[in-house]
Amino acid sequence: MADEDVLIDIRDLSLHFDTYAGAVKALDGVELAVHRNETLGLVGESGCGKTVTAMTILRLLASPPAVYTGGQVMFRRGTQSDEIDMLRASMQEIQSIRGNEISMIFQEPMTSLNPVMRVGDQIAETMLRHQDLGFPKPSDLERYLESRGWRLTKKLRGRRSEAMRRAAEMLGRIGLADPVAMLERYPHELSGGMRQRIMIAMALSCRPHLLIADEPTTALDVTIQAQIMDLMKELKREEKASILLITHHLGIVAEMCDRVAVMYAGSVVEQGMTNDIFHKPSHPYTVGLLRAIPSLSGPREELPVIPGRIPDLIDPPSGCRFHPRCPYAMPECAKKRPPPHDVGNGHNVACVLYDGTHVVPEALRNAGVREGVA
Amino acid sequence: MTTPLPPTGHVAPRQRGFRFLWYRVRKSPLTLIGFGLIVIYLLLAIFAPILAPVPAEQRGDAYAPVGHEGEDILPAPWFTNVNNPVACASKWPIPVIGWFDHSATMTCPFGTSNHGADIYYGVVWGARISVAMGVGVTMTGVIIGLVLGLLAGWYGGWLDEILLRITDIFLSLPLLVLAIAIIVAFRNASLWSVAFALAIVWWPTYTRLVRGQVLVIRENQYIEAAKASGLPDWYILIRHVTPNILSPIVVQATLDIGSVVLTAAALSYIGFTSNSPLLPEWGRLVALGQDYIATGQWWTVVFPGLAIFGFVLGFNLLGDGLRDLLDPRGAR
Repeated sequence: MADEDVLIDIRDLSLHFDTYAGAVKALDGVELAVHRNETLGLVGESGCGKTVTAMTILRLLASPPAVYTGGQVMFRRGTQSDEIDMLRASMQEIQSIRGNEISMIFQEPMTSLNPVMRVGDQIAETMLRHQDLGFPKPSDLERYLESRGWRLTKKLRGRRSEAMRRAAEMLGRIGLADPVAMLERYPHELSGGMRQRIMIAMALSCRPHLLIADEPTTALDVTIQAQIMDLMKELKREEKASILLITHHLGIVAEMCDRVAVMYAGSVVEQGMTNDIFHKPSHPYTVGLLRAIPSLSGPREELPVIPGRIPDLIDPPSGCRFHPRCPYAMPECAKKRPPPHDVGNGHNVACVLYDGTHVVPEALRNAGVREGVA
Repeated sequence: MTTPLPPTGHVAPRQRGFRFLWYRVRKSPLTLIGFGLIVIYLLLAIFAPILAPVPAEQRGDAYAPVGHEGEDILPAPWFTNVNNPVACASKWPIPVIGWFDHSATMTCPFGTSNHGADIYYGVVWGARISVAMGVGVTMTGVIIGLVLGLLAGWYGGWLDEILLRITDIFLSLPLLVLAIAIIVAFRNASLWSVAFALAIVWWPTYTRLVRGQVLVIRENQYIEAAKASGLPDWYILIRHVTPNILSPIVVQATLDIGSVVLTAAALSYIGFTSNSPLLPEWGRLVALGQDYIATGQWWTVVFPGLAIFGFVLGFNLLGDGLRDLLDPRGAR
């Protein structure tokens, strides 16, 4: 893919959290790229570093516990071709990007809205902060006062009502009935699905280039899940935005995503086009993960599990972090963390089996997903 | 043929702002009583010059220290001599008998003190001092406590440590003793030093309260979401954190207005406003009258005492009521 096409490029990102028990090495050499106008699914078990990776993109982690030990998070701003490293950018730059060029939807819609603020105000404040809301032409007097450094209340009020108008417009697009009345509501008056829609409206209000959705539907029931997913698909098409979708629901990934990245214990073990990942999974962990999905059709059989447990990240295994649980582990796996190897079509696998000098076991080559997976 | 849908029932119009608050206040009689008491005291304070008019020749500044050496000694407006026909300026319409042992030709409804001071005047003008003192000291405390508490709770770390240790020093000393120490340090036993001392003593409670609340609020996901929207810290503190912690502070402050006045009355009673002897401060009136309880002149103490009681009760009832009312999750 052309380099210009990459919106976010995470290179060799490592970070740990300082805790009383010791440094929790949460991310270890994460390599991840989000391209323009694509949906990238980030999957993995709980605690594998999906959310931490997403938070790092916006630098939302509080920095006494979190310590960045290496790597870069390059973000290509807007139409400019120059990149900015989010880990080294000033707080002003970060704040002008947050909510404006990159925005985020959180997992818990019930707690992601401020209970004492009207919905309209919450959507408007992001726009008031970032957007040039234009203003009906100022009078000569106003222009004069402004040239002398005066800010007029009337002007602010004009900006606010413009932001409110746009908020109502956004709520209408998101499919909420009576958007103008909705502006006046407090979050406790709304259902979970409505709140999540409002979160999406907030996140999209400034037309971001990237929307990070951290398990946006985990807390919702299945019908609402489907509605929210359709909404996100539609908005992505209209806005030409990219979505980084964090989830552990492989069904949603199959339905929504163009590409998938699989994380295990703080590193990306495999990434590629959704089709390739589901039909030609290459990393032993991905294979194990896909095998553990129950099939709706076909004979009932016991689901295979990946033996062992998620490693303790305070004292992670050396080399490839998956090797203690890997059925194909070799002595060299414990020595060095394998770099990602391209197996074609932008499909990267971080496993020594694919470095060209090893023979890939038969079981791994034919591990594609059966039909009828949830 | 399909059955037509039943007509939608009448939807009550949405109640907004103060109207909604008033709607709920109406349902709680104790809050109403408290609110009524406070309104009465506010009216007393506002209309003191009408309710207890002072003859032009006696008009002075009620707050000015009276009786400094070398100054022209003017009586405070409420301090008038019954023996002087002009002086007992209270034109109370009902004749009052037997409440004071002076000539009953004068109409002083609450009686007079041994100096001939009209107690009614003292109670009315004292409302001004009490309202100003209570609200002023509490507001100062809330503002200092809010700023320090927000900073300590939000930024944490060494700033939190330093601010909290300073707060602890203040909280480790008995409030009244500390206030007395501060007044003594000023070497000026006046109303102003009492107010100043109380303001210094009162903020640590709010700092603690605010900090504790900030620690809870800042872990909420909507704060994270606000950060992810690119809002700067000061904005999040003002627009997102403060409104969420405001209700316990408003409740505490309302209760404290009463306590401040009570403490001020206590300090005044002990004699810490003695540099302004003619000040119509309720606590001071009680102190002046206490020598005469035994001899039967009960009104010298009872009326100022009742004034304090009603004031503190009013704010306590309102504070308790507000505690229930200031919950945004009530039905609208």
